[in-house]
Amino acid sequence: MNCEEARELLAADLLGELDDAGRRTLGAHHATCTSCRAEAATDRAVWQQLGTLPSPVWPDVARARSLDVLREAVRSVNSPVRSRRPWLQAASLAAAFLLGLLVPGSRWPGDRTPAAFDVAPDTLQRWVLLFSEPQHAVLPAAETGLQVQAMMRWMDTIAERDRLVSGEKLAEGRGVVLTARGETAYAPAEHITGFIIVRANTEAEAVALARQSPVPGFGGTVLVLPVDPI
Amino acid sequence: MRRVRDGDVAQLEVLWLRHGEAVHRLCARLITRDDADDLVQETFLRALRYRSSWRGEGSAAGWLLRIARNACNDQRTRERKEQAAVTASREPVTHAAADARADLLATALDRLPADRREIIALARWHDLPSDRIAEILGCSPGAVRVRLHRAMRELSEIIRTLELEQS
Repeated sequence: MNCEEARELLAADLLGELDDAGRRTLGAHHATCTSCRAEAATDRAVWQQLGTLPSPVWPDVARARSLDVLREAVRSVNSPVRSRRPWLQAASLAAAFLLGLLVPGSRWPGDRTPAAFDVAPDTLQRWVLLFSEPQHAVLPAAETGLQVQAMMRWMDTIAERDRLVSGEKLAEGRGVVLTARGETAYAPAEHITGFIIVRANTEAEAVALARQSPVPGFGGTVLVLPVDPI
Repeated sequence: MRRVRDGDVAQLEVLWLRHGEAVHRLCARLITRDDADDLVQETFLRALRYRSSWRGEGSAAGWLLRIARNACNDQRTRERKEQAAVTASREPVTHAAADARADLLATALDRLPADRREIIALARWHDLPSDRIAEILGCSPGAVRVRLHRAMRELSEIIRTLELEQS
């Protein structure tokens, strides 16, 4: 056994993973190698001292706060309609906004396919999803409410993946005019009833996100357009 | 963890009860106590946010500790970017140790590079075997033993320097 192997055995011994045979082998090496023997003695002493250091204390106040924060986060996942997140509501109240963005994109009818996503950094490409729900305007209020709730649930799933950017930044970044009443929007000819901005690595990912939205299920379409980095 | 990933997110509270203390212990050993409190929150919020990325391999505790370790690394990166003074002024939690020897050891640990401190923390204060540590650090058990040996060597050297300084 060379010194390198002996060092790994020593580490295994500190970890409590060395069996009797390994201990005998290590001992035999130490019997003939004074430098490894000295190292082992020092390491074992330090290891023992490390075990005597007091454990960090997690103060009750911080512990309770941590649990509160977690419970609140869990509640927010379980409750799709949130009055405390106005930006999300604003984004979900699609009929309130009109938007125009004259760049080519991809369109499809409603087929929903779940997709898996990796953790997303903030640097991902932005995509705007424009919703067109022709029947939205003629639905009874109760059904419109259901649509909004479905939209919010869907957007919750996107927000959980850190993919949701919201709408305001697009307006700032692109200088697009938005108004709640729609009087100055440059809307494409159709019934654009709302938009959100998401992060995705590729257009295919953005399209997959859009396919999961409830809009196609309501008979609408979604237009996916790239947005320059903001 | 499987239930959390599959949508029963309330079960995350059970994981918090089981592993919150261990997550805090690791964060406190790697960062400062105040930051550790925040990083425990951050760890569980990340677990909630990225629950779908859990592949069912390894233990929930290992997954949480890996998230905690990443959160600590992110915090260190932020600190480095913000200002060097923050690092200089922070008070390590291990300084709570009462006697002189423990103080010296705590000071030595503070001087140890973060990746060395991390492996010592996992091996010594979490009593994790090399395969579990490997799972958290994303390396082989053999690499864990090699890294642990190097960390111990470096720590011993720092202790020796401190002892010389004191004498």
